[in-house]
Amino acid sequence: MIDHILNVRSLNTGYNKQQVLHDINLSVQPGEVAALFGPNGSGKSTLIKAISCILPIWKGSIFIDGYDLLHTPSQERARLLSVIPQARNLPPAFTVKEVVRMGRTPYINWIGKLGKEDEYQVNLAMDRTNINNLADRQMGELSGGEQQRVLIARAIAQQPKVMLLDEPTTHLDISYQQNLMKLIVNLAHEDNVTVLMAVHDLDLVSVFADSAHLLVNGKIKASGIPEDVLKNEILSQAYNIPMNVIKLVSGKVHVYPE
Amino acid sequence: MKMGFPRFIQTILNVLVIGIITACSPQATSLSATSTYTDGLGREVTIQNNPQRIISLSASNTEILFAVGAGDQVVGRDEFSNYPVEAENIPSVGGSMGKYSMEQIAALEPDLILAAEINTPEQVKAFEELNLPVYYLSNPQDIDGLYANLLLIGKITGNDKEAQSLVDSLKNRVDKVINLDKPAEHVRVFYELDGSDPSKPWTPGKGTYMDLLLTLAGGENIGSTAGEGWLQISQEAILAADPQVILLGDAAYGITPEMVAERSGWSGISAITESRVYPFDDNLVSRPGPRLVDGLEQIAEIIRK
Amino acid sequence: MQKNRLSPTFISIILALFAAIMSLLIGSVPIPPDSLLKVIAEWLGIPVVEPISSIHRTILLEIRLPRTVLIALTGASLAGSGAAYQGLFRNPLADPYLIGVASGAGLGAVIAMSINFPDNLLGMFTIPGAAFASGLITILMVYALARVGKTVPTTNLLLAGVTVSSFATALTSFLMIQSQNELRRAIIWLLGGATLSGWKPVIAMLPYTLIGLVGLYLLSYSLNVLQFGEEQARQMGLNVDLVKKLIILVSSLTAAAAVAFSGIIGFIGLIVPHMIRILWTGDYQKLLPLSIWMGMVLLLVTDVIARVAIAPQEIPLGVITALIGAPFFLWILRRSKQQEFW
Repeated sequence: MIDHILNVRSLNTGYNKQQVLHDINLSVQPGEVAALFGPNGSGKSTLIKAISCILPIWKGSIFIDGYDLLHTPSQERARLLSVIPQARNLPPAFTVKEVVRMGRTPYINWIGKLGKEDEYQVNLAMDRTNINNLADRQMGELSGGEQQRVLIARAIAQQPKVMLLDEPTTHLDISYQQNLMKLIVNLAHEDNVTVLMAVHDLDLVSVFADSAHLLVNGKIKASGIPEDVLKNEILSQAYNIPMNVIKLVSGKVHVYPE
Repeated sequence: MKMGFPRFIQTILNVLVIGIITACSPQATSLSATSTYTDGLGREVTIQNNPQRIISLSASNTEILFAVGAGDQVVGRDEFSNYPVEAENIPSVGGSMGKYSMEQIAALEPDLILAAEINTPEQVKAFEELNLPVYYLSNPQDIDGLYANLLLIGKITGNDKEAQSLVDSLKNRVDKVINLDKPAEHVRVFYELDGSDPSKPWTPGKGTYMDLLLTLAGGENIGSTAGEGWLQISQEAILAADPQVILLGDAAYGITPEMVAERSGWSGISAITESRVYPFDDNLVSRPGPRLVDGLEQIAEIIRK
Repeated sequence: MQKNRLSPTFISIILALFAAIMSLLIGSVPIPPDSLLKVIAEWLGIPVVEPISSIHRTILLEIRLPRTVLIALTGASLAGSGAAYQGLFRNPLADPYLIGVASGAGLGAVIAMSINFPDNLLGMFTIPGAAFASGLITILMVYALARVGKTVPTTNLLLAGVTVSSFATALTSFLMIQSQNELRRAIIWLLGGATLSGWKPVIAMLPYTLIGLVGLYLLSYSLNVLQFGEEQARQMGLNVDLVKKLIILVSSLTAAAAVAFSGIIGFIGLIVPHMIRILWTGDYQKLLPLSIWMGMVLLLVTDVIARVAIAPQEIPLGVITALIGAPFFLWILRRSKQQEFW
């Protein structure tokens, strides 16, 4: 419990009096890739929204690096936490560079002028995500995978301690998925950015995550390293169909329905 | 950074120009004899005696000016001033859609601008801002008010005698009409202002000139039962009132007695069965000028046919 | 995107200056072009061989110059405000009147006309004052109706705005029919155009317009961030609730002042930002100032045409902006080679 950088305690919330999340406790260590997974409708997106403070919390607390997120002004919050949304409905006319630069919003003033440090971080983020060749292209021209990388660059430029991802690989084909996940793992392990990602593909949990958290009907049913959570009793109960877990040569597991 | 700067400069320059111009605008000085009057808006207006450069902003004012003999003192008129014929030779200063050309008015260097109730207080203030003398002539409420207006304009324009003799002759004519043998019963008259929608035509109600003149002429305006001002009256109300005479004030827009006779449901009206539907020049009863008396005479004649 | 050497800002400012000069030199009374130079020379204290006639000086300085400034400020306000609302609502159909400032102002003006406010209450500013106050009150009402706790959801704002707007317009029509004496006066006011002349309306309008335009410019970066949607904007650290309030406040101030002094002029606020998007950019940091300049240009050109097309008649601006603006915009639209610019 010590030196967890992201601490969610007894989180309860929902929409319009309908409670969705019940007493969520979740902690993530620095530099860790934590996967949040579970059946559809279990509240994964809700939890991501709640942690990023765009959904009001009914009860509970969220701490990042000791800061109480619920009582931190939005600008400071954005320096602790950034979110990588799905690449959907993005304004098509901004260029890639312009989008990444907007990641510096928490650090600049109303006029929006970027200083040397800001430009440096932007360039760093674009290097990291390998999108320098796309710098002057308009977002509307890019493929889904390219757009997703731009959003990651933007989130990196925010220089957060924690990054949240909500189903980052949906609508992407296999090669993009793999590249994206490898990028995320590198960010976490090499740059010490902590990642919490909501995913539904169990293989991704197995292959890329350092810790896994199973969310069913708004409650955390299991937390731990993937091998400990991806067990057929746990999963069969969670998904309501018999699941088979096989161990692969690499040591990772693969899950498939019976 | 670069974008905002030129705009700021332009704005600052504008402010500077405003400041300097306001400080430097010349004051008007009057050299010849003047008189001061209180106009229809309650304003104190100082006008040169015998103004020679009058601009009329309404057709009614133009008619009044010509009638009191001030026609050759007029240098500008509104677009709709079409009576008398000489008025059309005077340059127009605008006026349709309520807007006049301030530039043309200023360029004419008027010593009097005569406004009427169709002009807005905003318009009057705009002239004040340019230091142009403007007198707002209120509409008369009745014939006596008309005489007062005519005498006043006569005074303002230096045509007192002519105005007086005009008023005298008008009084004579009006008296003649009032003393005509009245018809045995008040003739019921329907005056149509606008019959574009025959099921709800526009008609003058109580308090309008038409209503006033009709009553003076010995008739009964069926519109007065419907309300005040100009209003729409339903076809049923017209049928119920059964007018004996119909006057078409919208004749100028192409409405003819034949068209009226063909309107469905109207054929039973007395005015139609007795063929007493007549076109009428609406200008005679809508412009608050001396031709109201012409209108009176015509109405009196028509309803006694 | 920008292939020209000349920056769009440079082009727009030049066009604005050109339009202003046109507005000064063209009118229903012909004035020799060198009159403008003579006036400037006089102002600078340089002696002039044949001084300008006093009539021409009056026309230039007391009629055309203040009108040019008034129209320029109005065009700037409407275009800037329109751009801001399009950004705020993320909707290409948004214009400065979307949430009721114009119908509110119109209602205020007609009420002031019908109840015959004593004209010496605010002198020439009685009607504009009533219109301005009423416009702002309407926005406050719409905001209060749309608010949910600390936030004001955009959909609520839109619905409340459209509803209150319709109600105000209907009430205005009703009042106009009831009070026939003022009908003509109300129509003239509502049709738009500079009803008051001289410098006083310009000076009265100036502070609100300046605050508005400067404020909008300061908010332009936030408008960019807002384009990603409120959720992402919040996650990027933008204080979305504050930004929305400020955009509404500043846009309303500047639009209310424009309507109060120039009546209801449509089309400019809707179309000018789209023109800029097609021709140049959708980046609000550039879109806003460019819209402001081009708004000036478009309205000044329209006003010149309104004054001379059927001189000495003057066409009310509200009637003519779309007549002239629409074909021009369609031409730009057809010539554009881009696929998307929204």
